[in-house]
Amino acid sequence: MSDQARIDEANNTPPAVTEKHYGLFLGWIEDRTGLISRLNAVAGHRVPRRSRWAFVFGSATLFAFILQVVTGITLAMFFEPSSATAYQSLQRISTPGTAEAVVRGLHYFGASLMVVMMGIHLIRVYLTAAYKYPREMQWISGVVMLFLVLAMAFTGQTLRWDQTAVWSVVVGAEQASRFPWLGPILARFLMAGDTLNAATLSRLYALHTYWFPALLFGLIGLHVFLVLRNGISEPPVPGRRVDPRTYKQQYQARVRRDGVPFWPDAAWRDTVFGSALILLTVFLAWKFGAPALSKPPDPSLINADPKPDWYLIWYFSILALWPYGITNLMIILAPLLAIAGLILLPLVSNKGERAPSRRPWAIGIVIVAIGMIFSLTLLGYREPWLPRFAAPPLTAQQVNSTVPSVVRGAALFHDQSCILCHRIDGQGGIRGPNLSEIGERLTRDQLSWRIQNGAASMPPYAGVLTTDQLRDLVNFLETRH
Amino acid sequence: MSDTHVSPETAGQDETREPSRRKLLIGLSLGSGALAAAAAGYPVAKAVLDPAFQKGGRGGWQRIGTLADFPTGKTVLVTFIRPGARSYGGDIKKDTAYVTRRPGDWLALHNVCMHLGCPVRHQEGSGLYFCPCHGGVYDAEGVNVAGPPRIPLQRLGVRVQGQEVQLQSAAMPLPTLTWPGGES
Ligand code: FES
Repeated sequence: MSDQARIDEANNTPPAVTEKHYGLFLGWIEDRTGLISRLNAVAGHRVPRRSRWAFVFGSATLFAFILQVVTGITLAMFFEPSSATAYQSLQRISTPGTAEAVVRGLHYFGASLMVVMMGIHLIRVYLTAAYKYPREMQWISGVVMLFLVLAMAFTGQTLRWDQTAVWSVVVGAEQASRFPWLGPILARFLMAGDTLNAATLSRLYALHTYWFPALLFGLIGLHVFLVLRNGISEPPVPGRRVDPRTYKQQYQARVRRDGVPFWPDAAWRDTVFGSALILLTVFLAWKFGAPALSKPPDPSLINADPKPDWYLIWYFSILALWPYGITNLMIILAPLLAIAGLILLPLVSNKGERAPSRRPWAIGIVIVAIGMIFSLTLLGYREPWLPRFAAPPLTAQQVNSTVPSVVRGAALFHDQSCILCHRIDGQGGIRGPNLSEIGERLTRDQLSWRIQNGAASMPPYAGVLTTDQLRDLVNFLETRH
Repeated sequence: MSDTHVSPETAGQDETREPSRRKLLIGLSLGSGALAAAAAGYPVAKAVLDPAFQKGGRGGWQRIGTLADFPTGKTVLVTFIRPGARSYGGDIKKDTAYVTRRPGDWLALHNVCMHLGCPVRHQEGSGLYFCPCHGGVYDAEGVNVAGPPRIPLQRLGVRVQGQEVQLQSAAMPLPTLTWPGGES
């Protein structure tokens, strides 16, 4: 290799072109655009040898993004972003057996794919400390994209303009309104006014299909440009510390010594893995289709139980579970801290060890984060905080007593809404303790004290129940063992 | 490789020959660009941002039924139209309230949970309001008594004109930050 070629390669500039490499047609293209040599240079740029399967998640996210762009544009050709007709157009799009329904399924599963791949990519980069010098901007642009993709997920779910979508907009606006000073402005920006209105959906549609994707395109361009400029990070080697003074030289030297051309030696894994995932998405879309729409977007239908899609359920659980005293503060503070922490990470720690084995706390943080997301997701599906509005009264067999006061107490257990949150013999809610054997655990006095005073999650019944009713209820609960 | 025929030397001379002229050209370019961007950007920004500054609050009085629809002691779910909502939006402009006629007065509670805005459900027997989203509970007066909500349900005005019962509509309540311990 000549010196000039080596310098060219080190700078990622195309080597001087000799036209005879290309045929008549490609030669013309190359002469007029210079694109072919540049693409060749990109394809042939050397990457570290040991970048194996762990490195495919970033490109898989890109594959998912491209799928989302294509399917999203297709859906936009059928979807009517008008709050009066959107629901009908969605029903039409969702008609089983149509190609549109499959495309909607692709867009739905593609969103899941993108979020999951992005999450794994984030974890991989964090675990291998690939965000350290000189790749700080790659990390920061990635963090911005992370939140943009979550914003895409949120706005996308609201475009499914059904009952759940409408209440999701409200929940989103109410969270935003907690922001100090700016809050109400943010909330009204999101709703396009001081309340839900005809322009709300148009605004969400414009954010989801124009603004956010435009930003994403720009950021993806930056992200990929930086990956090419700074090179793919090497798999970490314990003891090989990142030193900003020498890193670039050493990296170049190593890659020149024993690197491989990106295409196809490294890229085949990206292509195969990404394509396999797209195929899986097609299979899921074709097999299961898009999620069913809930009731129409009519806020006067109040029997709603809005929930986000599965990959955001964990956050929904957090909203129910913050200690009540600080919940309003944390709604704002927690996301801000998360954003600040992620963005500052490569700025405060950009050198030193990269190997996970030398950074046990990084492994710990990832395990705790995944564990929390996993358990919060499970909890989100159980929804223990959801009052079981449909719980029927206890049957005579369950009450198992003919003492009039006990029978009256059992009726009160249902009529006074206790059953919404407490379970007896498998019937009722699970917010509060199961009371099937409460008679063994609490005395009469303790029972009436608890009923009258309530708790953080339980309303006090002093003033709701008469003395007689309280007595009957306690009589009934006492018989539970 | 170079597309132009200016040699580096003459280019250098050009750059040094007329520094004031170059400054003028830079100023002209950036200035005209900024002016054009501002002229087109102002109406754009105004259109996008105006709704964010729309004032919420109370709207006009709306008929929600007659006296016969509201037996004393019973809590009735009524639908009203939010003020300011563009009228062509279909059902989206609808909102609900729980109206209770009591001996001597009326209570109307805007059906927007003050935690994160979900619609709550009134329970006949206990008279409590339960929120399905995160399990907030309000008592018969609309006071938050359990779960995440930190402030009571918002009250709406009710008035009787002859036989007709009217409700004062309101925009969506947007609770601002309440500091821990600072809630009512
Ligand atoms: S919205 Fe009512 S408890 Fe959260």
